[in-house]
Amino acid sequence: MPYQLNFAPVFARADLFVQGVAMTLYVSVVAMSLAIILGLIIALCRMAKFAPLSRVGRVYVQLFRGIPLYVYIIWVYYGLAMLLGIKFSPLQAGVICLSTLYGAYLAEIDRGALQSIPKEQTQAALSLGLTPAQTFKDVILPQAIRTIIPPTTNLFAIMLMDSSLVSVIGVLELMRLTKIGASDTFRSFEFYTAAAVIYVGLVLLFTRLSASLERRYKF
Amino acid sequence: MGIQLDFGPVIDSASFIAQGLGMTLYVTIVAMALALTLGLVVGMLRLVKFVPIRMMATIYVDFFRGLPQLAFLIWLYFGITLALGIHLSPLQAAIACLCIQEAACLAEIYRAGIEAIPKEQTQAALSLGLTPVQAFKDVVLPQALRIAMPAIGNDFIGMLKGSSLVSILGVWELMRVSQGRANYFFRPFEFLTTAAIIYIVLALGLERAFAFVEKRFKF
Repeated sequence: MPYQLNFAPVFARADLFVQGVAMTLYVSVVAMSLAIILGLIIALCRMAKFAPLSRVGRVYVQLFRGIPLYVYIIWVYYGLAMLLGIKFSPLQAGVICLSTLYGAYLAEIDRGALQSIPKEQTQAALSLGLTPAQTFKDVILPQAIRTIIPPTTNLFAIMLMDSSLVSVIGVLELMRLTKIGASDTFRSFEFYTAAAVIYVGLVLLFTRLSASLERRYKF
Repeated sequence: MGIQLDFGPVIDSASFIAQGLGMTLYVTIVAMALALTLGLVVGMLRLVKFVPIRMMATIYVDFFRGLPQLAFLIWLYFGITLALGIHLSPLQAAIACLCIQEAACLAEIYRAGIEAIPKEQTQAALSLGLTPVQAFKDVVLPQALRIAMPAIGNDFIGMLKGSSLVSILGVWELMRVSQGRANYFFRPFEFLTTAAIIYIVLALGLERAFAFVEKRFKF
């Protein structure tokens, strides 16, 4: 008996998709914000003259470049929680994993951008009487931001996709809610097709948005 | 249990873990080998002058690059096979998914490599009497592949990490074996940490190896 396509239950449970997209965006935005802050800190650590600090930064980046996100999520939620004796909520574990992992990628982007600013800029600023902190905040960082924005927005689009992984520990985002809808109605193909289309749509939308953002800041 | 770490069961399970690692490598290598060919075909289709084919190839690439890996795995294994009435083993589905998505990424890498070759090369080849096919096959493509090599190597490492997700379909690769053993002995931290370390060592090791090979073959 061939499979009869029936998308009606998908539209009947549209609320699941709306809720799912909202949670997916929420998780991604929160994790990305933390990752951006973390990335800057790690990048500064790596560029520090104090050797132990730069080593910590280097090890951090190496570690997170080698570990798959899925393994990391399971490790944090089941392994680390057991070791520390604390219980993370799925959302907490998900955000911790995404932000720390993406912080490592952002650290490399930030470091590349900061190192690309010629050190004459720093020298000129210091010789004009600015403190190192002021130099960084008002001279280096604004110039580096221009180089940092395109890869960062690209990374956000990738994070939107990776956020689907936190469904495995129970976060009620798009992937999980789609699974619930599919198992409730036995319409796996229709529900997962809808989820696939939504994810691709989100990513494409975001890629277009970031492309136009880049164009606006090009001078 | 508790805070008592005990890696004994991990060492006892060494043969299982080794089999899991073998499966991980098998899945990654097979999927990559298939994707290298498929990706080249799609990459070339992206460059043809005939618009409908070029558009279809573009849709393929944009779609599978914007689709999360987890979503595609579940959609294919639980949705598409149902709708089409075909039966795929977890291993077949896993390799199919990895291959199709990687081909989309490789198509872009190939395309960038091919487009980087100045068209004077093609013009010179044609003026020397080579047919267009020969010009592409013997002049443009070898140079393009040389440019694309580093990116392809990087993608391979990414795929190795991505293979951890196929454990969700039930393929007994490293992650699944580790989780299975962790559940059997109630030692999630020890087994998951071991799995994480193996992935990290593998990824970093391959990175070093590729960098070494690239440096030696630079001409």
